[in-house]
Amino acid sequence: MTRWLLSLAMASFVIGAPLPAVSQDFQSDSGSLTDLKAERAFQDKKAYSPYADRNFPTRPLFGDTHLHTSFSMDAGAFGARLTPRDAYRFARGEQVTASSGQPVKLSRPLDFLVVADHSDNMGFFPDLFAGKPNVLADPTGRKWYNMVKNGQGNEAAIEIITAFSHNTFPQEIYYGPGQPAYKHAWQETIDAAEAYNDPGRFTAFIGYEWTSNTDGNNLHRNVIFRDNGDKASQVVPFTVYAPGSDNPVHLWEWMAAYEDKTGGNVLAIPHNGNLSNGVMFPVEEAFGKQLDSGYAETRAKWERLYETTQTKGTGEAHPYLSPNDEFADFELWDKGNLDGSVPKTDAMLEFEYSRSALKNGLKLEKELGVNPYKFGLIGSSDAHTGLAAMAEENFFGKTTPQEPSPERMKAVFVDNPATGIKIMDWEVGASGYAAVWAEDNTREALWDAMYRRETYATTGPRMVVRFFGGWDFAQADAEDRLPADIGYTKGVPMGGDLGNAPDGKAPTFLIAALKDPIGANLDRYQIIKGWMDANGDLHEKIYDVAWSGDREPGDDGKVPAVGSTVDVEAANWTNTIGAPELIAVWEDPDFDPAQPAFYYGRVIEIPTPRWTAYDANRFGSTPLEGTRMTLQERAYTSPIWYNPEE
Amino acid sequence: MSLLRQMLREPVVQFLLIGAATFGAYLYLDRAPPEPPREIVQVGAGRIAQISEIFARTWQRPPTEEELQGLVQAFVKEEIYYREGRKLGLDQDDTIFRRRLQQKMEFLVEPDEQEMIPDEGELAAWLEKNRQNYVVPYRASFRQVYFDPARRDGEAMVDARALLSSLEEEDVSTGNSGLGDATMLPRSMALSGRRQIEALFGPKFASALETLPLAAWSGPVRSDYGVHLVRLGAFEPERQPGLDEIREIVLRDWRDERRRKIAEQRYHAMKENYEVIVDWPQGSAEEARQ
Repeated sequence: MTRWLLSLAMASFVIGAPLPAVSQDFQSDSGSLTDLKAERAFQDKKAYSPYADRNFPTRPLFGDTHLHTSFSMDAGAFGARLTPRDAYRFARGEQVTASSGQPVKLSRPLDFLVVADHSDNMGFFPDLFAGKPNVLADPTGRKWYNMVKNGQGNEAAIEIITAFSHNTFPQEIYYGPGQPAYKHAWQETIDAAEAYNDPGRFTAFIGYEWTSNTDGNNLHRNVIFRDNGDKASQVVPFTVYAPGSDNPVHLWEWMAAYEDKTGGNVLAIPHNGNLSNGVMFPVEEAFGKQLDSGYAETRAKWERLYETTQTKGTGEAHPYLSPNDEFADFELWDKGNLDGSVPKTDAMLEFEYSRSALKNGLKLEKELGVNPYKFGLIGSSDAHTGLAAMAEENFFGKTTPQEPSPERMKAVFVDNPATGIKIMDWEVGASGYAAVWAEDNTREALWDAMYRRETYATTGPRMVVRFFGGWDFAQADAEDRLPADIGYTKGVPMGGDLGNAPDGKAPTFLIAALKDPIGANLDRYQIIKGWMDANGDLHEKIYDVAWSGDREPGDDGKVPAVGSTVDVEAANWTNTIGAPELIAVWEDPDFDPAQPAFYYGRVIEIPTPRWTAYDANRFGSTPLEGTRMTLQERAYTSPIWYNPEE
Repeated sequence: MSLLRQMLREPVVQFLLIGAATFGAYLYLDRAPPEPPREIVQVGAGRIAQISEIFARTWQRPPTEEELQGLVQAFVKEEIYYREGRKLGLDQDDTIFRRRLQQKMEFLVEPDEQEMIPDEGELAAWLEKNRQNYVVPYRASFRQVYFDPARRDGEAMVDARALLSSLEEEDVSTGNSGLGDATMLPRSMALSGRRQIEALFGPKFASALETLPLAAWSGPVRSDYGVHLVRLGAFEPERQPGLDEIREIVLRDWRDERRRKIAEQRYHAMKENYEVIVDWPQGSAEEARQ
């Protein structure tokens, strides 16, 4: 659908004039900055005061890195009326009126938001009424300006639009000296983020989505700026249509050019490999070109994170790839590509899901010298409503027609008669958010934490998840009152590297999870290990590491299911099962220092009602046959990698 | 009638009629369609400069000659499709087109900068009217000891009370390590706003803090995690900030509201020019309106 929408060429105007060169006295190098900070924060010599020098992150910050507003053409076409300003207001906790006319508010504010509207056809409009001197100097501009002043705004607007369509717009207004004569959607996107960015309390990032979708295969990326408007407004977003490209390699070139020119920083987050039909994580070639070390290096540099869960499905693991993972069958969208034009085959799956990509990355690292798929994990919404409302009991849908109504559970999201692929609206997931372990709630601190992959994905709830890896964690560390203190002192956090294995030692992990303060208890904390053996074969194994109650692992080594307290009809559950908190230290019992590996945490909640159950309860509507009514929400941490010494 | 017959007998009339018929036939046979004037697609210097500028702002370098050629050809193609599409009326009843034009119009009626400058006293009045939106929540620093109900077999409350009395007696004012149960929740928090406290400890706990005494162990306080003893170090109650402290935020919000109002006014002004007739289906007006 997006492809179809995008293929409709709209007249759009990007007007810009060269901006004065910005002095580049501020050169940020987040890499060394991070190292420095880390050194200062985790120095061995402890101060008497336990709080002195303690600047490691104490609380994860929750947000959405992927929200569309009416500035996205498809969102607008679906009836979204909310603008980026509305989106930021809502995310910081204000009540707003949704496009469908309903009042809506979050249970609690988010800490940050990226409005990421599609760069193609973002829309560019004249900014006549700012009364800029160059506009007023032109007779036609002056006439229009006066018409507006005299209350003839509508007539003026029509004349202006006509002038645009007939290419008779005065050149003098087109190119004002030294400043862009037009306000366009990109500038307004920047202005909105600047207006709502409130360092320390709420971060409004500048960003956009690059929507490569050739043949309906989803290669979308969200681009997030570390910088403020002074830098971001020196460029226009990279598009798929001319002068852009649908090849991610070209997006990375754009990113490099931006950084070179402005001294700023950007990163890109791909999403929905599950709708790419096998092209999101290639292992042999991409866009007709053999993968080489250059590709691997560039991809690893710009794409430090992957969005593994969102409204259009969760893409951590697939039952076909992980038949022994009883939790893999979770909110899957695996019928075809984005527009349903080509059905899915089993062979595509390996190149679509984050776990298999992390595994293939180990193999590619051996072949190419660099792991292109060394990414951390986040979740986000991809909502096209301007509303980052991803709680099951407060879900405002993916598009405006999917905002709460008695009918929304029964409607169709994708229907491609040619292939017979049909995805129902009930299959849309209320997921997810990005959790970031940043020291401060600022663009810089959050972006740096994303860059070092100290993040995890959640499917909506705000559980607190710690994951530290090292060589010396001992059981007593799980009893410590400050797991973060120990974690950072003796190991590396999620997203890091274990480094060389000391003789005779196996990796140890300090893991901890705290339930969402207003959410459901936790079922278990698992560690997922992927590794490559001496023959180059890839493997994965899931370990239950901490769980609630006194359940004993069965003969297969798996902890039995936690049970369920969900009353679907009443859309309710109780925290009488599960645990509010899980802490443990775990040592890899199968470690072979010769084999490269990665480890990541998966935290699973007890079963709770799905948004469909709340809908059925509140609207009294009857769900369609097969509609899932409960789920076990979860979090996925970024991995920690182990590489054998060269 | 006879006059007409008489006229038709006149040779002059006959001659004229034959001539007219011949001329008519000639015109008829010779009406091969004239060459229609070809429409002009002119790509002017301004347009080329614009295309070039977009490229430069995207790639941070000017396009090469070849790239510019390609971009201009792409523009020509788009223009021709656009014109042909409009001739076929494809822009009519196209939801995307219509909504896009609405959006464009909305951009066009954006207020200018003069309209976004508040008059003297207007911000103060706005703040007064919307006081509740600007309340600064309380800030507190505290230490806490946690009792895990799961580990204490339903005795968490009892154990907490027992420890509280011993803490009171011994006047333990520094350190509380080793007390209570292990938890990921911070054992202490430096001066933090209610929102941060609530994000970690939940709303129940955050509300309870408001009622606790300063500089003394108190509780037990319940949270969604279990039971806590709390010693408040500092507490700054919720307060109403003055305009000078939050002028920028108030200005931003005032402008947002003003922008919305002006947009609304301009829509209504435009709507004045129209008579809107809605033909509700018989008897279903109420239903349809919902």
